[in-house]
Amino acid sequence: MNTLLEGLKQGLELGSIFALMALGYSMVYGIVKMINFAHSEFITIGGFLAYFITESLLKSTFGNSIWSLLIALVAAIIVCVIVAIITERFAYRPLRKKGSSRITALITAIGVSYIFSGIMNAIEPEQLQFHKFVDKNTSFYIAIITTAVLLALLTFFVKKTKIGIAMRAVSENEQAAKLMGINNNFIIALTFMIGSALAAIGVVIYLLDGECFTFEIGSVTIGLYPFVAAVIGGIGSLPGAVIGGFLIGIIRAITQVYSNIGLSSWVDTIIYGIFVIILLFKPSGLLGKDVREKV
Amino acid sequence: MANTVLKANNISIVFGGLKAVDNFSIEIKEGELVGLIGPNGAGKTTVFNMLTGVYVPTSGTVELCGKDVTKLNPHKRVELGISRTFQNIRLFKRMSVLENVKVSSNIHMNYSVFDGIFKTKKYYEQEDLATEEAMEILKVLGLEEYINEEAQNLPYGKQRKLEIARALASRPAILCLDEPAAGMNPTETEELMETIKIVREKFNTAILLIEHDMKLVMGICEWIKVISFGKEIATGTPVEIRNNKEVITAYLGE
Amino acid sequence: MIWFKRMNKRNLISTVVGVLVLTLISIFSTKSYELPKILNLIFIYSISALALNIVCGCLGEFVLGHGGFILIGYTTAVILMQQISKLFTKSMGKVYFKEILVYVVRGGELHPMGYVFIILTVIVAALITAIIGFVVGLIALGRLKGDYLAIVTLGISLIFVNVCKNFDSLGGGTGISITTTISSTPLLNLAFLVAILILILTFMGSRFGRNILACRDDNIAAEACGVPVNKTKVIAFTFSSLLAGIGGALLAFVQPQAPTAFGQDMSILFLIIIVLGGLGSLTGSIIAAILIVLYENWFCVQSWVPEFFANNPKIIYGIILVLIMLFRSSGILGKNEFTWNWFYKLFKKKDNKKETLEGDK
Repeated sequence: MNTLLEGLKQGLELGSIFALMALGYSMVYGIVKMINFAHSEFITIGGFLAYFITESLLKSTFGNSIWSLLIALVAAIIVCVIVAIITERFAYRPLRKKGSSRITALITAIGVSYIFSGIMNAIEPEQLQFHKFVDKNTSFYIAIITTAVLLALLTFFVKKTKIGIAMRAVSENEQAAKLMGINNNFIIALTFMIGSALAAIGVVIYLLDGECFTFEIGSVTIGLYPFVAAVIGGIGSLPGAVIGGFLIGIIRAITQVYSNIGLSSWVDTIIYGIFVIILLFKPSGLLGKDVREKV
Repeated sequence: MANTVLKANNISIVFGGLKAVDNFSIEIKEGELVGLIGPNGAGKTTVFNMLTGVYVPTSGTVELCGKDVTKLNPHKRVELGISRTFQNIRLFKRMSVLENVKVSSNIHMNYSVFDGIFKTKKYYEQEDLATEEAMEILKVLGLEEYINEEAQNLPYGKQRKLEIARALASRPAILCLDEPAAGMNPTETEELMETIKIVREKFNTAILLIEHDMKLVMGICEWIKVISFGKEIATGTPVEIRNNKEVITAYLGE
Repeated sequence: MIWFKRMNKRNLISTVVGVLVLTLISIFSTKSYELPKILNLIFIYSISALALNIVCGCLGEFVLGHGGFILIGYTTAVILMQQISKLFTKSMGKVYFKEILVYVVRGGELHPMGYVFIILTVIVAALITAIIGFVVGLIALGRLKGDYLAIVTLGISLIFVNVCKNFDSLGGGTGISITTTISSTPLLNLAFLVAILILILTFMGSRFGRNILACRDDNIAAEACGVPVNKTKVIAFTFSSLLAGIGGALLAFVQPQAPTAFGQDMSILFLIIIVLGGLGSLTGSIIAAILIVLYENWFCVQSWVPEFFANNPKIIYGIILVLIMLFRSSGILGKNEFTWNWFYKLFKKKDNKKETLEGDK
C-alpha cells in the first residue's frame, strides 16, 4: 500500500512537470498546427543553462541559498525565450509566409531540434548532476503548486485578457484574425515564448532535487511524454494538457515503483497502449473539440 | 410510366438542437430535370448530403432505383446510380483532367491487384474502355483539349464542367448538381444551361439541381421544389412556382 | 506483352542501361571494404523510403511510425533465421547450420542457396509485416486523420520497439546479429529495389493507384466518385507496410540493429528522406536516400572534414534540413520524377523543345 502511495506521489510530481511541458506543446500546436519538435531541445537548453549558472553561483556569495536557484531559473527562462524567438523568427516564420505545407514545417522543426541537440552534445557530452537544493518532499510540493498556479494564470490570460483572446482568434482562423487587425506574428511569437518559458520552469523543477541528466534530457529522458500528454488531453486545451501530464506521470511513476515485478521495462507499452486506446475512442483527445469537415 | 430513380420519404436531420431539414420528401423519375431551390441556409445542400450519403438522416428513408440506401456509404450509392458535384469545387487538383474522370470509372472496373500489377489483358481492356468513355464525356463537355492538364490549372468555368464530367463517368441514373452556376457570369450560365440539356439527352440521366440563378432554374427544370428553413413550402412547374405566394414571401420577406 | 509495346523505348533502354551499370558496380563492389556497406544501405533505405512515400506522398496521410513496421520486418527475419538454424541443428544431428552455410557462403560470395534462403525469409517477413500493417490500418485509418493519425502510428511503433526490446532472444537492448551466419550482397538488395520500383509503378498505374491519388487530393470527392476511401487507405497502408517489411528484413542481413534505433529516430529519418526528395516523387526518394547514406557513412568519416562536425554530424544535418525546407520546400525533385531527358538534351541541343514534349508523354 505504501509503495502505491509513494508511486502516486512521485507520479503527481512527475505529472506536474510533464504538464508544464505539455502546455508548451499544446499551445504551440493549437496556434500554428505544428508539432514543435524543437520543444524538447528548449527543455534541454533550460536544464543546461540552469545547471551552469547554479554551478558558478554556488561558488559565489549566493552559495547554496534559494537565490542561486531563482537567478538560475530566471536566466534559464530568459535564454529559452530568446532561443524560441530566434527559432520562430528565422525558421518558422519564413515558412508561414510562404504558406508551406505542414509536413515542411515539421521537418524544419526536426532540423532545428537536430541543430540544438548537436550543439548541446558538443558542449557537454557527459552526464551532469544538478545541485540538490531541496529534498524530494519539498520538490513535490513545489511542482504541484507551480503547476496549479501557472495553469490558473494561463487560463485567466487566455480567457480574459485582450492578448489571450487574440491568441484564441489566431488559433481559430489565422487569416481572419489578421484581417481583424491582430498582429499574428507577434501572437505566434508570444505563444512560442510562453511555451519555452514553461519548458524551462518544468525542467528546473525536474532537476531541483539533485537529478542527474545528460544533453539528451529533453529528447530521450523526458522525450515524447509531454507531447503524448498534450495529445491525450486534447491538443489546444490547457486543462487537457495538465490532465494528460498527470495521467502519464502517474503511470510512469507507478511502473517505476513496481519494477520488482518487471513493470518498468514495459512502461512504454503501457503508456503508448493507453494513449492509442484513448485516441481511438476519443479521436481528438479527452478534452479536445471534434471538428467536422463541411461539404 | 417511367421508373422512379430517387425517392426520399420524410427525411429529417437534427444537428445539435437544430432541425436542419424537416420531413422532406421527393420522388424523381427517369430522365426528369428537377430543381431544388430555397433561400440561403434553407438546407438544400443538407438534403443533397442526405441523398448522396454524406449524412445519415435522423429519420426517414432514401431509396435509389428501388433499393433502400438510407444507411449506405456514399461510394456504395454511386454504384447504385447516383452521383454529384459540389458547391465549392472539389476536384482532384493535382491529377490530370483525364485521370479525374477515370477515377469515377473505378466502380465499373473489377480487375484485381494482381491484374493491375502484371498488366494483364483484363487490365488493358477495362482501362482502355474507361479512357474511351472518359474521352467521349470530355468531348461532349468541350474539355478534350485539356486532358493532360492538371485540374487545378483549368479556368474556373472549365473546372465546373470537369466536375460534371467526373460525375457522369460513373454512368449515373441521377446526377445531382450543387449550384453549378455559382460564380459564373451570364454568358457562362447560358452556356451551362445548354450543357445541362445536352448532358441529359446524351447520357440519359435524371438531374436534380440546386441553384440560385432563377433564370437557369426556371429555364430548364421540368418541376421545382422549394424549401425554406428546412421545410418544403411548394412544389410545381416553373410557372406555378413563380406565382406562388409562399415562395415569394420566403424569398422577399413579408 | 502489351505493356512492352506501349513503353517509351528510349526511357526503357536508358533505365536498363542504368540498372546494368549499378549491377556491375554492385558485383565488383565486394572487392572493397566500405563500398558494399554503403551500397547496401542505399538500396535498403531507398526501399524503406519508397514504402513510406506510398502513404505520405501518394495517399497524403502522414505517418510517424514507419520505423515500427521496418522493425517488424527486421525482427521476423531474425526470428526466422534463428528458427531455421535450430531446425537444422535438430534434424541433422551432427551437421550444424553454420556448416551448411559454410557451403552456402563460400569464399565471401553468396551461394545460390543462400539467395534462396534470404529471399524466402524476406518474403515471409514482408507478409507478416503486411498483415500487422493491415490490422493497424483497419483500426486507425477509419477513425483518425491528420496529425492524430501520425501520432498514433508513432505510439504504435514505440509499442513494437518496447516489446521487441523486452525479448532477450532478439538481443534485448542491443539487437542481435544474424550477419555472422549469413549476410546478403549489394546485388541482391539492388534486385529487390528494382523489383519494388517496378511493382510500385505498375500498382500506381492501376485503378488502385488512381484511387489512392484521388484520396490524397480530396477524401470527400473521392467518396462521392465511388472510391471506397477507407478501403483504399487500408490497401495503401498495407502495401506500404509490406514494402517496409521487405526493407526491414533486408536490413537484418546487412547489419545488426538495436530495437530502439527503429523508434522515433528511424521513423523521422525516412520522413526526412521522402520530404527531401519531394513528396510523392519515387525517384526523389531514392536520390535523397543516396545523399543521406553518403552523408552519414562517407562524408562524416572523411579525414578532411573538421573534427567538430565529424563528431557532431547532427549540426550540419540540421542546418541543411532547415535551409532546404526554407529555400526549396518541395524537396529536391518536387513532384517530378527523374527522367533521362536532361541526359539526351546534352547531346541534342537544337531539338530541345520537341524532346521535352515527347518526354512528357
